[in-house]
Amino acid sequence: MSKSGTALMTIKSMPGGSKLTAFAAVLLLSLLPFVQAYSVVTDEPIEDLLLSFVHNGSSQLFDGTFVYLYGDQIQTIKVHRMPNDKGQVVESFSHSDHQQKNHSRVLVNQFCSLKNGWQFQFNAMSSSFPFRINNRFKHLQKYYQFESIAPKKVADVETQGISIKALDPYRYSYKLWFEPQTATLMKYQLLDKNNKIIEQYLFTDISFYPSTIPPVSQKRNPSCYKRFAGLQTATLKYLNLSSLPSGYEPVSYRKGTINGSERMAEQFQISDGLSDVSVFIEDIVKEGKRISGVVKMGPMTVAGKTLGSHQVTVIGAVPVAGALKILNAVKVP
Amino acid sequence: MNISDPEQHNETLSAFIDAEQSELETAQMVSALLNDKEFKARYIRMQLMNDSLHNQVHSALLKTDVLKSVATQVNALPACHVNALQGELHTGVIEDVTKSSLFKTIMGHKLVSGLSVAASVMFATLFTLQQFNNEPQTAQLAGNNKGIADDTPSLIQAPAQLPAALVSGSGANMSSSDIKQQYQWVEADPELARQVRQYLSDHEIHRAAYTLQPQIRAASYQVNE
Repeated sequence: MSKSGTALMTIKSMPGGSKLTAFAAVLLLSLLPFVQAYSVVTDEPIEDLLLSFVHNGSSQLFDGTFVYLYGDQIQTIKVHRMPNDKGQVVESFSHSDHQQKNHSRVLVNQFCSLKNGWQFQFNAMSSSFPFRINNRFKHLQKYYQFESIAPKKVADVETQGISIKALDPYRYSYKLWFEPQTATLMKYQLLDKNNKIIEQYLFTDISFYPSTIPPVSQKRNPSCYKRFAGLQTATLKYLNLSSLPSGYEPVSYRKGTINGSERMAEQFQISDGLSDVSVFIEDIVKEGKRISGVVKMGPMTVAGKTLGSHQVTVIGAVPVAGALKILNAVKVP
Repeated sequence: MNISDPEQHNETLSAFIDAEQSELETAQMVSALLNDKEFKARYIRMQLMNDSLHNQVHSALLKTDVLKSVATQVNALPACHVNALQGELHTGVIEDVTKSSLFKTIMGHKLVSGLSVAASVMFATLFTLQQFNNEPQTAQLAGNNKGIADDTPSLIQAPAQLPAALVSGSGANMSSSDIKQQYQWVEADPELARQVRQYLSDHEIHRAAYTLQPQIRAASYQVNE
């Protein structure tokens, strides 16, 4: 006989008031294994879903419209995913607002492995957010709490929801809703500590097409060596690693001109696995206006200061606290 | 979309925000959002309310002179933010200033009232909001930035206008009043705004994942160039 069955037999011999209390206790006891089992099973599907999203997202074919919002900005964007003659998936964006440029790209799925074991997807495909969850789920659980949330319909499609709650003030939280069969990200929200939504997009309509393209196997990116050339040396030179917010690590480095300008900069990417931040370090070669202070631009935080003869600028979708902490972890020789 | 029946459309908007509407309704909604400013404004307000962010602010605003309200509250804000900044500089610990209820209130005022800081870009320094109640100082700072119209305050201060302690990065000997005078809640300086967008572009291009998220962000910023 089970423990709860034995307990029920015992209750029958108790006086009335005690019976009720004891019965409630037994009921709770008997439910405990189910509660524990549920807790266990909710962890695995979250990781499975995210893995599926990372691995299979690029092969999904669909037509859809989504709305992108931050602050008082609203954009409606059509997305079209179809194969080209080479069997690659081409994703095209067209804006309902004709002032904006349309974009298209071939989706690929390649990764580089860092020395710390992280797998980075470069030029990763599709809505491959969250991008580096594939082998860092346990690491991320130190800094985020992952929970299943109530399923809901998004664009008339049943979705499975995941809450990824930041556990400190150096990163934002997320809520994601996936179509579970295809692992297509249907709705995304970026939230601050007070659960204020600071950025979101959601599909308002979507039509899926059967894909004849097999899920793209992740391939080691042949340009990995180039990607990480100089990372370690530059890190030692410019960053106080112990001063970075917990969980953030430098993951890429380059030296080159800043897009749209002639200014040379050294650029680090610093990430905790979900959130990523760029650090630009430039020599000040001529007098001019420079960013000093903190600026918010939609979900992005920009923090800058002059350090010796260098301009240091940090930018990323992180809270001000995170941007400033990273800014202050920068040193110059 | 006809918005003559606010009650009905509030319901439609609510469904839209939750993405639970039909395809036809979606098409109508998107069209209305793109073409009807009043409808878009209603949508934004509802979105904010739906997010449970500004419910109280919104209802309070309807009864309040926004400018006066901002002006009377603004004095308290810089100290909060300045302290946060100093805490970060000295100890490495900072409170997220956006957590401040006053900050949220100010944001609520700005969003709901249309006190737009910039026409299309939400630039905001997070340390002070002094321009609302300190016009002479704003004008002086704006005048210090070359190429900026006199009536256009500057978003980001040129290095010469920053406290020496901040320029050196140490933060030592920097008083609250120093920072309070330097940082303004102001519109973007075109040259610095261009720099910000350049950083944004490079961040999104070179970040570790080229995802839908930055693709949208990058596209979003381009319209403001």
